[in-house]
Amino acid sequence: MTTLRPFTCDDMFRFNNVNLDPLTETYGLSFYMQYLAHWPEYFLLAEAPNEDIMGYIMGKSEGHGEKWHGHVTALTVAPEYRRLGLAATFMSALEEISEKKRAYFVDLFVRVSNKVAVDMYKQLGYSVYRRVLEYYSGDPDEDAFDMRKALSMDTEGKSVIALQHPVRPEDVE
Amino acid sequence: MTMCYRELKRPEMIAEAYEKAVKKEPGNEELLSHLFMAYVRCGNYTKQQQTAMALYKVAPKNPYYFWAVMSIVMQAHMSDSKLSCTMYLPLAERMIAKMVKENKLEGEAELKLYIMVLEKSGKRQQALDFVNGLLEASFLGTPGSRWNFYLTKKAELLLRMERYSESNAIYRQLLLDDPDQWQYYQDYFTSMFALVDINWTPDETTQSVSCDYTVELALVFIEQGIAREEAKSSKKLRGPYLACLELLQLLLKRNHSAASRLASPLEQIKQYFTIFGDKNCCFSDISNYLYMLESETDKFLADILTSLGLNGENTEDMLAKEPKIMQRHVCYLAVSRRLGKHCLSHQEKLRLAEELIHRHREGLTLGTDLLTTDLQYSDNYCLLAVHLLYDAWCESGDQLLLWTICALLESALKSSPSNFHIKLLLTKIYSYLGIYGPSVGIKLELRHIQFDTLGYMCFHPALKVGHYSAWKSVLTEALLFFSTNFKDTSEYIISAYKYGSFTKVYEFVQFRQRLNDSLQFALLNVEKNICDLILETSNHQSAEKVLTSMDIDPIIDECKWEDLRDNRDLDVMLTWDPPHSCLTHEQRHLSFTEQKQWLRLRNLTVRALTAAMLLPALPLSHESTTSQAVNGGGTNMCDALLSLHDQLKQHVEELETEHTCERRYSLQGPFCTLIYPFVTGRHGALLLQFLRVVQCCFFLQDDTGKLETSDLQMLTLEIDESMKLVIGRVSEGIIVEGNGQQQFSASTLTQAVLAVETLSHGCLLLGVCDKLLQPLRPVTGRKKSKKKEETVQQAVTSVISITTTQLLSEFSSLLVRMETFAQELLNAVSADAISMEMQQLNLKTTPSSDMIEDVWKKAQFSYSLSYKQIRDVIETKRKYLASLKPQSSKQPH
Repeated sequence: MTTLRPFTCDDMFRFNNVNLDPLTETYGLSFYMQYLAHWPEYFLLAEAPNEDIMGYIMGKSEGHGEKWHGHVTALTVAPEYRRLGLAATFMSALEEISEKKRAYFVDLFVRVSNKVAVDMYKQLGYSVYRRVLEYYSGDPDEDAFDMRKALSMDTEGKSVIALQHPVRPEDVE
Repeated sequence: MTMCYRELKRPEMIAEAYEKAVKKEPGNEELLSHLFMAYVRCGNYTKQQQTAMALYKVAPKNPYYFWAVMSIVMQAHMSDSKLSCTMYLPLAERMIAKMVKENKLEGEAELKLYIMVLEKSGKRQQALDFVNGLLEASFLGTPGSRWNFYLTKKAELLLRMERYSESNAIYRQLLLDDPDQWQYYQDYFTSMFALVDINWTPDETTQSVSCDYTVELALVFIEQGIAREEAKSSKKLRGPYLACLELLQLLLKRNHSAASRLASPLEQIKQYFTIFGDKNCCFSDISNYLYMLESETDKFLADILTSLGLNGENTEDMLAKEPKIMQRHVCYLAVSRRLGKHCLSHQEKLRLAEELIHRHREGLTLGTDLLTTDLQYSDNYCLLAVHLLYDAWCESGDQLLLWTICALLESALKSSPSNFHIKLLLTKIYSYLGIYGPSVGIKLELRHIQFDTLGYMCFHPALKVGHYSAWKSVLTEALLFFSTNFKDTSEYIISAYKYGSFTKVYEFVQFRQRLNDSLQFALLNVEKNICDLILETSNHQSAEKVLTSMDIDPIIDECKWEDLRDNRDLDVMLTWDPPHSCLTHEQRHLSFTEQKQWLRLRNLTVRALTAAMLLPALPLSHESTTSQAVNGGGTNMCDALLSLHDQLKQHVEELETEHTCERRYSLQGPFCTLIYPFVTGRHGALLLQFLRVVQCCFFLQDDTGKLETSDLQMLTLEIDESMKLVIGRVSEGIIVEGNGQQQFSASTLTQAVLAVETLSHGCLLLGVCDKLLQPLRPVTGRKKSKKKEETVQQAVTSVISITTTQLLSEFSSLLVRMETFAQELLNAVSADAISMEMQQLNLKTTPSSDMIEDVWKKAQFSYSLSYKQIRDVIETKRKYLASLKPQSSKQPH
């Protein structure tokens, strides 16, 4: 039970119940506004009947030729609204828009330790394309999985053939 | 250069630079486009429009054309509705229509802009025709999906055009495709009831429209939706069930007989609980429908409790053996609370709380495998217990309950470090106890916009306990966010044009304005001023420097009171209270008003201090020889000071009348301001008296005889009285007897903090007096032009030679009195510091006394920080006072 709608600036005044969770970063205004200005169709929010913000997804499309793809920048669901399949709903929205934009695949980065998320993405049809060493800075730095799912443009599934060796963050396009 | 001007916050200079460049090369596309962006930064829509058209002439590209259109739309947004309707919108519409005719529209953004313009002009039919003429594929999101702009826009337009049958048919179809989208249900019901109200029936032309125009049809539609979910073995959607509850509610509100054809509230809510009771959101889903249970409330609660099987005799059977059962039980408890079942006797509350605490602890064993970033399954048991104990505290005032709450929350936080609800509650209760949460490890890690929405959780609690350095740093950090806002957001308005996200342009402009009009922002600015005045002034020269750097105009109030916006997020904390105990709209409004009153108090204080400082050093009557401008300035400033004094006096009186007791908003609500301790501690009176001393010193040298020395004597007596009262409050002791036990008195600490502020302002004002009195002092080595000196001397002797001596002696005695005041203040807080260190709260009787012991240590730590910082400020003020002593008394005899 959700209202899925575009994210607007005013939502930033009340997304605390989502963003106070330690796994969700609150960025400077410019970060959100950059996405709102450039890829408003990829920035979606789910609202509960009582108008609570349940979660949101931020994404973008980029790359050239066969690397033209949709990217998930942030996906977050408030603790109270977890285990309702909301993340899957968000992901399918982003995939659908990417299909419409004739993207070849959708990709995302996730902490290798975040087993819950990795498993969830696998269930949604994503596979690990490569491992990115020390992608997340912190103490200690942490590796990321670059996970991908091929879209219908990529008929042969070329975009998701896993790389054998991990890469450094600076090698990630 | 652009970057430089941008950093300097002078966007108009960027525009000027490009204007010059374009003049030289009028056909340069790049320069023109930079000029356009420069105008966007300034918000100059007319010039934006002209520049965009110039660009389009140079390079006939669609984006440039639509930049011009959007610039016109912005003028429509910003002008009054008449001008907008007669001029701007028609112009924008014609411009797009021309492109439509020439079949030159490219891309979704341009289509949407046209629809937006037509809608804003009230031309819904045209908008609808336009949408109808498009392909679904023109918009992102495919047919049969929930992101269908094409269909939703059509349905929305039809609904607003009161073409309910067609609108309903679309919503009906959208719901079949996506039975979980709440907004569709609402619009579906609205259109259905509208059709019922007008007795609509299909005729030949509308027979093909498949809409639900009777309640019966809607009942079937909703019941079919549920039937589809029932057929599923798992992953049932919540939408159809909640829609059924919503329909029931709407029918009951209309007293419609068909309500009886739906399952009763009892059955429906029970069914919902059975299916979704193990979801965390079950409570918020059903909470607004619970009132429909009415007389069946008890039966409902008894039934679902039985279904849980947790009421076995022995304690083992009581506990949930798996997380899902536990979640159901938590939901049951939350629902009971919502239904008023936690309004128990004091003892019953404590007993229930104890049971929940037990369940919380035992429940932790189910979550041993959870990651530290997960929340513990049993956390809400603890939070519910805390709410009960808090209720019990509100009624009994037994402070031990607050200490117990903190101990419970601290221990819960250890097992569930990511649970921000625990942190929010701790911050709150600690603040009630005079402890600044972040100083004892409860960090909310606020970032960026959260300073606006949640900053209230830090600013006030830090000030209230005199944690000046934390106060200063959080104010500084928050102000940094606001000061970069305007600059940063402007850049993204430019981006929105660049990427053709036209709907975002107005949204960004509004957003920037909302941040700029934030009450928090206004408060932060003035609090930072007060903070600097307290912390950065150790003598009068530094005070003058600090005040000058603030660049405050005492005469003109720069605060736009009417535009202030309350951006605080007051819904972030959990509550399961019955509707009447939740934070109501009235309470929010009351709190906003209270914040504005506090802002006004601070605003007037800072402006009065500035006016006092800007009084000319020479008395007016002696200034006849000086230039008219200075004279005029002096009169103005003096009038300003008088007026600000009177405004402040009136404001304080109003506050005294209105704030006769400490406000307490509901637990999840905001903090109250320091208005109540301010008025009860006599700080306003003392501040006003100091302001009058300044006036006395200024006027006593005026031959108009507005005041006499006896006034100053009277004033000194009044000040003496006020000081006694202030010191009295501060000396009440930090640990007091109450309720048959020792209690920590946070209000004493707050009184000390406010007294320190008053001391600080008093020093500054006495510094002003000292400066005003300089010309009256026996002249020793001061360099003055001979002529001027003579004038002064003559004036002094001729007008008030006897008065002068008295005046100076009164002032000296005032300084002495002030020093005593500082000393007494210091004595009081030092005595408190000793009692904090020496004494333990007498709490040994409770089972959780160990945990409380730890919390008490935190209180001692936080207090020691309060004490150190308060002491340091008092010491600084003593230095300030010492520097004001007349030369003669400073020199050794």
